[in-house]
Amino acid sequence: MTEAVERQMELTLPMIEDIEIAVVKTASDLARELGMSGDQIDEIAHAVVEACINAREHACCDDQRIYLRFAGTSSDEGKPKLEIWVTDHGRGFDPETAKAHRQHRSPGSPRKRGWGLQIMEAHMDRVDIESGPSGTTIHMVKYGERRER
Amino acid sequence: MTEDLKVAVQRRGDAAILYTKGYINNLGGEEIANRAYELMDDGVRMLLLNLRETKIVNSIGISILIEVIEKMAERDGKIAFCCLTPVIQKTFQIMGLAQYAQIFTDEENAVRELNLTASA
Repeated sequence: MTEAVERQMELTLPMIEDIEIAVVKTASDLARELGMSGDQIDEIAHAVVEACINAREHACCDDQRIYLRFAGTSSDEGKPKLEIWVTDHGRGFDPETAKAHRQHRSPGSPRKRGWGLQIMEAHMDRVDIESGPSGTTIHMVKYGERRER
Repeated sequence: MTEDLKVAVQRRGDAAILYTKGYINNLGGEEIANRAYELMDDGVRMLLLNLRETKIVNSIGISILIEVIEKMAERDGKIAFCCLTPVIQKTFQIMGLAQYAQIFTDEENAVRELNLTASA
């Protein structure tokens, strides 16, 4: 018999200093409930932090809000899966230009800022960005390990 | 909401160990930098950052740590890290910090390898 866990949550938060800590707590609690490991929860936390910083630093939006959506599923048959959407209503950016900038960086050269997208991609299984003049949504997916039966 | 970073210092001759506790964000990075610059001005040329009680970092905080590493290198000094969580270590590697500073699994190993003398 399959006992599936499904969780959905939406949050709207002000763009204030360290608001990402509240988001980390929500994401971590959800990931733990889905059965993800400590390291996976840590990876989700670090990706979420960068997504929130990206929204706070680059959005320049009037409403000064970050919109978050979490969807988690877990069942005996499959891997736990957590999806997170981080949305702002700012001016947006071109993800391809951002990727091109990082590809042109020479190896070993110290670039101190602009690592957020790479950190998100390294810690999550999938990261998609939709961005335009009315805002940006970063959609991230993390899969846990299959549960032992 | 803010989780302030706490930094404790253990001086060991011309070296020092900084113990961090909490989130290394921009403010946390600046707190570490200020303590590190004070120690450099006081002649310290080897700094070990023990991050045992830090579970989360962000890219702004790490960028400040890279500046500290560069400033220490200008003075012919070195900075090393120990006791990182696997995810923080991975984040350091992504940002290239691991190219500029040694990373040790634990403090005992770091103290031995770096030949840090006993507390002054």
